[in-house]
Amino acid sequence: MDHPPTHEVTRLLLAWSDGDQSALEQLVPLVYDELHRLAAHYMSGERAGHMLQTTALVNEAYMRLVDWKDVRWQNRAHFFGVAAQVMRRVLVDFARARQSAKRGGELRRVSLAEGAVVSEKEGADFIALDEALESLAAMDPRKSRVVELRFFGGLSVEETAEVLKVSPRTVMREWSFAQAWLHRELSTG
Amino acid sequence: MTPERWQQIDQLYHAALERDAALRSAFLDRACGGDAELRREVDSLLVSHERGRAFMAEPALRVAAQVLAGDRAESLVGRVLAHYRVVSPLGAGGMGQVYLAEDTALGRRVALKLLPEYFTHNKEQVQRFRQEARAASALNHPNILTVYEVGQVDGAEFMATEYVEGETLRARMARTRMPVSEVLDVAIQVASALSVAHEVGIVHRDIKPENVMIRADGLVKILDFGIAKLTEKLSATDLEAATEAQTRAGMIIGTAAYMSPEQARGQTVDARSDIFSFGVMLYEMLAGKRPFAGENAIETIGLILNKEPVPLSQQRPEVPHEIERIINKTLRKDREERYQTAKDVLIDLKAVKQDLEFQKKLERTAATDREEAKTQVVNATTSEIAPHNTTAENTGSRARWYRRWPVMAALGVLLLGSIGLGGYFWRQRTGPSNEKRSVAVMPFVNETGDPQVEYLSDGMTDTLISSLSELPNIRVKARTSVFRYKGKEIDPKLVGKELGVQAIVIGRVAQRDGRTNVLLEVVDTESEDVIFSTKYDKPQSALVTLQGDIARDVSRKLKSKLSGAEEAKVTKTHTADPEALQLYLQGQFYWHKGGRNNVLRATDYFNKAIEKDPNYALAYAGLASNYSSYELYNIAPPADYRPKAKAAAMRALELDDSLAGAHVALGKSGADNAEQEFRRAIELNPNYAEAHDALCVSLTYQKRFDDAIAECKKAQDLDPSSSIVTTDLGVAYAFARRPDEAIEMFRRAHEMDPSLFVPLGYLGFAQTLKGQYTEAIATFRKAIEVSDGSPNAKSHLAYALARAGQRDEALKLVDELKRQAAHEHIRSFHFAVPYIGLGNKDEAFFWLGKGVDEQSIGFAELDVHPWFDDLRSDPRFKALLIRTNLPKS
Repeated sequence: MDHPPTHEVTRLLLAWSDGDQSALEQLVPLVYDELHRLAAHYMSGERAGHMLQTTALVNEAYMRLVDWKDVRWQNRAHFFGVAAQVMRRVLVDFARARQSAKRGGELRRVSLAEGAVVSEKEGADFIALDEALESLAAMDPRKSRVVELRFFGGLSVEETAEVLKVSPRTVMREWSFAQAWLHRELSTG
Repeated sequence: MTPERWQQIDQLYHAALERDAALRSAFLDRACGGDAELRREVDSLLVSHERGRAFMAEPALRVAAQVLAGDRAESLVGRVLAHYRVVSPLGAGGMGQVYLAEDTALGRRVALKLLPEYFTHNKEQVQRFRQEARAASALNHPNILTVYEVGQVDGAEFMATEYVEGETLRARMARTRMPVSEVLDVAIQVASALSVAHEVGIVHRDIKPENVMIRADGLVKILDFGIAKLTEKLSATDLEAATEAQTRAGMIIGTAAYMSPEQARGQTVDARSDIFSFGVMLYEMLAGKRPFAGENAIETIGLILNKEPVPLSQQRPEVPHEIERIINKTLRKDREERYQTAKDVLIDLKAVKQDLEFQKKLERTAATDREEAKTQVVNATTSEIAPHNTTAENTGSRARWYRRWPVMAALGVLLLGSIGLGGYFWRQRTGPSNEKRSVAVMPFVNETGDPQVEYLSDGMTDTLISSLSELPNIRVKARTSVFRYKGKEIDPKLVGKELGVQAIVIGRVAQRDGRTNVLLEVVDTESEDVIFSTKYDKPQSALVTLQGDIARDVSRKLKSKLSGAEEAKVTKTHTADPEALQLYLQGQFYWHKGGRNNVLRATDYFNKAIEKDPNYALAYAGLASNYSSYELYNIAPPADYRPKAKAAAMRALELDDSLAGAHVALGKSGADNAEQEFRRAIELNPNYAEAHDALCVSLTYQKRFDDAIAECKKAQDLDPSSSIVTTDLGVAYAFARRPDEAIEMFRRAHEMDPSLFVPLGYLGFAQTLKGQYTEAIATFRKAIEVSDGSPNAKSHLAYALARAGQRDEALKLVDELKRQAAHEHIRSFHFAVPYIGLGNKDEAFFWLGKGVDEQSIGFAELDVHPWFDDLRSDPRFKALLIRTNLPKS
């Protein structure tokens, strides 16, 4: 398949962060590609691998999109940050597109906790989360960034700490608060 | 909201979380003063914190993919495309989604492959999709999937093919290791299909286990002649794209692993390339791993180009030499040295098959000639099955292979669709039958993330552990050793190595809408193969039987045959009342959590469970065990709780004498024949680490140190990460006056669980035995810190201070302890000890006497404890020993 090499992804991400809007258009199909690939995995009826493998698949998908090993770019942290922003943009747009496609029909909300196990009430969709993140950013930008990097960017605690230049402990504290705060906003709102 | 306010909320939120849940409310009362709104803010966040643990726990990409998968699968089912009615999703093929559909015109079932909508914008994808159809439809062979029709409907590309009910070779390999005979059957059919395709000039170019389907009757079908091309050159850009695709595909498609060297180099590809890929697949089927397995695609390609695989005979010694020779010839790097046509491979494979069948016949004849009395017949009805001669294990490896062969062959036939034999097969592979198999049950994941039902996931894990540990020939890792993996990502290989187990059980539990869902898998830690995987969906009211079902299914997988008695043991439910069961599980949950408050809560739950079902033996046993924790947390004087513990244990045994836990609890409750009780428990359940541990302690106090050490080591083997067991082993060493070994154990125990003060307390104690008072003082100070002011640790510190000459400080601590005794129970022992350190024998004897009267100090402790050595020559000490034997009023 015609996936550009990772250095091309890197280039696009950096171009976008420099203000090149057309770069985003080229990035969208790449994220969609991964999305479809993962979806295909979930759809495959056979339980080929064990469930731990699914986690590995997701990690791999992120790795391909945001492969820091491949970044020759000096500022690794900056690159991570940009990638997470792009992921957020694309995934929120995905949710919007889905919403408008389903308008009129019954819309299942995108549950942010895994799959069907958690009741819908406890989850919320990307769109609402995106808005809540905006409000959080107004009050406390760092907490909002932690969520963007970890949830949308798929970064680990350590990587997030690196991007924000704080200790992993701080990231964990910020995450804990943001998680509770957002959960509250989305379940009452 | 002002930034100051925000910061205040942030700080209070974290400060509250750092405190024990029970203390939070009081803390917030103080911290918020009268600011009700502030209090509400923090409270609501704390509630959200508890409820929202699962919130955003999965990365966004995964969440979105799951939603997309749901949408897609839903959107097409029931729809009619052309003359096909979509019935259900079948899975994802190499390219596109595959659905089961009904051909409304002909009334037959078909597999309908749809190019995902997203890809239809991509001309190249459409091109390739059509190409696949054309290539495949040019072939007519029973082992090649038949294409019925290609077309377009509503702008979507589709292909209708024959519907094959079966599993992919990939799935087959993941299930169990394939018997040689089955591998041979599959290989012959694939070679036969390839030889026909090659004859008409079609090269598959993507032979891999995902593209081979096996029907239940054993018929093999090759799929996806998708990238087959009529021998056409690969351009350099194609290669780049292909390499890139494989790099990306990684473990999803894994094509790189099956590439021929010439494919990897981007050279012209011909039929001999398929032969190489076929060889890779054949090797994998037999060895259980790929011949060229790099960390990533690039590394894999490097291996394909430059390295010879590990000889198959090393991976699986029983593979006939001839098969190894054939595979080696398919895997030659230089295609000129390889088999030149698939037909040649086919001829050789068929010859091996004939040889083996002949051997089998010989074997059957020989077996009939032998005395059948010594032999063990595999439980199956087919007359084809030869007896498995157990004495054959001792002969040479080649001979052994031939003897085992008939059984393997028989299994090969039976494994298709058979569940019951999987466990048997696993046993075969993991070694001689007298070797114990070892397994660890990983803490079940609480899928709901709701801490209110955490007791359920923990409880189900516990129940499964104790059920399995009742089976002979299976070694089950104890609770403490597995619970340190709770909430962590599980790497089967790593866990296998760390715990020394051959398999792990992983499970996920969810409770919603009155139903309990459990997803369960048994994974081989070495190969990471899923040995067994299943799902349960039961109403909450059926919790009792659900636990029994799980225990039965898992144990059947781990053990070839369960005797009726064993099955009854494993599935025993103890109560029919689901509410009582839930209360019991909650009791267990809090008991395991430990800490004064949790232990008290546990007592409450066990009592409630007993109230619900007064004949619930397990609940009595739980209550009795729970009382044995009272001493550790200074909850009440022994005279108060021991009789209760004893009564509960006795009642449990009256209801069910086979409860090992109740025997241990009875022994610990101060029964006269404690040692017997512990031994009985071990007899009932040899895997029961706690029983070995209790026996070890009992032997230590009888000064039978060597036996004690041996027993503690057994407990340690079963529960390697238990800091309690390690501590008790240290105590045995310490009391045996072997302080160096003791210190080593206490240090280890401390590392295992730094939050426990007991190992630290004993570490300091062992240091005093060596006269290292300065070190001991530091250790005890740390113990006090860790335990939040445990009187035990303070008493010990006072002893060490006194010994080190800091008498005033020691006396100050004693005063402090006396004040503390006003609101919590403190054993007299802890008052006697500082006075011994101070050399104040009068006071020491006073407190020891008090302890004896209160029954908190017994003969054994006085007799064995090294700190009493200074008192032993005093006539009062002898009098004290005698006093322990006097009847108590």
